[in-house]
Amino acid sequence: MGQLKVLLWSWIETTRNLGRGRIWGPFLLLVVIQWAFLLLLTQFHRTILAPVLVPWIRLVVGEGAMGYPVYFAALPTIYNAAGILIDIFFGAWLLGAGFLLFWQADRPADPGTGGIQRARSSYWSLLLARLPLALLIVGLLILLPRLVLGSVADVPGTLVRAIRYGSIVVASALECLFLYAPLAILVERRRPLDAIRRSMSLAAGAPLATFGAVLVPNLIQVPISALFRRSDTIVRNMAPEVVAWLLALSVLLYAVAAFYMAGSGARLFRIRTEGAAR
Amino acid sequence: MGTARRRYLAILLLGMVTVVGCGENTTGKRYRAERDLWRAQKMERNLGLQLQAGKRPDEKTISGVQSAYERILRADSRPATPAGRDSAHVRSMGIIRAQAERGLIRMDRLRGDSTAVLAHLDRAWRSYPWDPDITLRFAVEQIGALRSLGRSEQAVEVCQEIVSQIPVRRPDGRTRVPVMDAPIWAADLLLEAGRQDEALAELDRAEIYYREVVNENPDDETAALAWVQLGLAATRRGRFDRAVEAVDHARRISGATAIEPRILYILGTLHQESRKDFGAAATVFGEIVERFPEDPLAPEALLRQAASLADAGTPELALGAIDRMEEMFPRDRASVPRARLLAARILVRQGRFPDALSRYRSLMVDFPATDAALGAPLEIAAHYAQSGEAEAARSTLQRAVDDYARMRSEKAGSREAVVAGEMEVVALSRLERWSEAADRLIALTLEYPNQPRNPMRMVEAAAIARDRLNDPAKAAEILDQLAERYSESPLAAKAREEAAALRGR
Repeated sequence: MGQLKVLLWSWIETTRNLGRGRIWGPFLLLVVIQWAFLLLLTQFHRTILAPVLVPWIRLVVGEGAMGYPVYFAALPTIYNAAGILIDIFFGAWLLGAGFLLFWQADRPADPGTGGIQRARSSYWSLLLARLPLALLIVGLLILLPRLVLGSVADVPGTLVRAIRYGSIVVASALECLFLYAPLAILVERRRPLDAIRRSMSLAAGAPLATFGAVLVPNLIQVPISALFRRSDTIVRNMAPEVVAWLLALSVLLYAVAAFYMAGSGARLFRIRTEGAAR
Repeated sequence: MGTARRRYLAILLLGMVTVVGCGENTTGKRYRAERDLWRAQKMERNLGLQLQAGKRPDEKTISGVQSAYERILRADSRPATPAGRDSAHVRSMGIIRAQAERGLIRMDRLRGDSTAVLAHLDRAWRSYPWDPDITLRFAVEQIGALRSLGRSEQAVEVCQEIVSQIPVRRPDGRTRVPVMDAPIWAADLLLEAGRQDEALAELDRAEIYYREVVNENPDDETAALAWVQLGLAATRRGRFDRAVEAVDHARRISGATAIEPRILYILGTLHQESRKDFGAAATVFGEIVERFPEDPLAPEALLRQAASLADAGTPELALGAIDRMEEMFPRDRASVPRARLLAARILVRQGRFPDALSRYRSLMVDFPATDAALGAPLEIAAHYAQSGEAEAARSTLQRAVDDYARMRSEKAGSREAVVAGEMEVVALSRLERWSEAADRLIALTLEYPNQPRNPMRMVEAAAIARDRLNDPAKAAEILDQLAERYSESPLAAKAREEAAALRGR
């Protein structure tokens, strides 16, 4: 019950920070990077981009999805594959900066050293601390369906849905273990492996609050993935480019989810390390 | 990393991307072409919706669609030959270009510009020599376009080129049916043009060709179709027994099991229409229904069986077959209305007019927009007229005229509206409302300006003006309009001469 109260308090505090532009900085920068990548993916056919992007896209979705308008039906899958790279190379750094800004928001008396700059100086540590999580999630998304379904030819729809929603829960459980690692690196100056260990021990101390802090914002994936499962219908009945616009909108929604995850994570970290809510 | 080193790295990276990027981007080209085609087709679909709503699209809309298709052809304007280029890319681009060309042709047709249609088809069917199927599709359209303009000689040449250039068997063993049909088309075109001797020579060549096809592989589906064509060639010569023999041979070929219903249907039609052996026809059509009740030809076969039984002098059996048809295929909108019409005609011939009338009425209630239902009031009126019930005939025709006019306005732009318009002309003529009949014929040509039957409609309108209204000036005016609006039609020159003669009276 205590953990749930703390979790609720952390969300209230995060909601109070919604109007603070400075904290939004890293999240919006991540949105801009993701939009830029999305734009590149929609323009993959340009002469300057095709040699780099075409082989990679072909690897992800196959030759059959390289034509118009089917490409747009496959765009969510392509973008999700690209999203993992963005998460490793930009997400680790910018989410780290986001965590730090929330940490600093509760300490108006501390000298403001700049969240993004300070996170940049620890870029490689943040990346190395994020890498195992990214690999675990990729493994989960590839392995879980294979483990459960095996060689079943005719998969029932309920099983497919169970796997899809189960993946969100399991991925959230994994993410909990790494939630506090950025602050352990940036605030406690720990090395990546030590930071992961520290994060796991903090998460183990407040499992319910940590899981809630990760899972609830992640639930935004449910309607978004349901929408993109019908991307072929959108392509057929509306315009193919609508899928790209919806992806751009989902990037914004994910930024809000990440904002809440970082906000509540930073507050929970403070409670766990300093012992009391201000 | 120092600033200078970073700069060198950035320049190196940019250079590498530029060098790689300068290679031919076939995927990108194909993607852009597909995108342009999709957009053009979407514009055309919107235009189709306008047409369906009975609204004639303006020239600007048609030009917009045309420009969208032309953009695709301009984007890849290099000579379309596989030499020196990736052939898979050439083929896929060829398919996209061909679709764009077909779109352009559709726009020309919508405008009624038959000269442009011919010019496009003439270029298009020679532009894809490495893809026989695209070539064949354009060539078949070219034959149709030339035929509708009365250019039989050129159409025959295209038929001959098809046969000489395109293999009848696809690499996967399937048959290119239009290649198989082309020699008979050539003969038919010559017969239509009244060139009997040349048509017979063409039939000789066709028979040699079909025998070659059979000799290449006597046991496959293509060989069976070649035997069927040999039968059709014999029919053109009036040798019906030989035709039946050839088609009967086709059905016995081991590789023809998949097309056996089709072969049987042709055999039955030969008995019914050529040999007039209605008993044999009924047996063959019955065999289709018994052995292949799921085949798409089964409802049509049952209808023909009923017609054959009626013609064989067994009307009760024919009515039984029609009842069976209603039981077996109640939802077949193509055959059931015609079956009811046939039943009504059989009953009229038997002198059971009240029973016939109930069949006509059920037809008009259950399938009101079909050709059979639209023709029913005319048949009822004809029966009344023959029985001396002039007033009943007149009132039936007057009601029919009102119904046709209502259907024309309710279903404007549809095929049913055109048929209703044609039926209205017949009803008005029988009511001797000649001026209205002529006006309706002219109105049909204006409402549906691209219909191939339009020149003939104008000839009919002119004939009504000349013979029934005693108005040679009006007849001449209609014929002048025909010559001007359908200058490519074979009727145009004759219309000009006739108009001059009418003025000289």
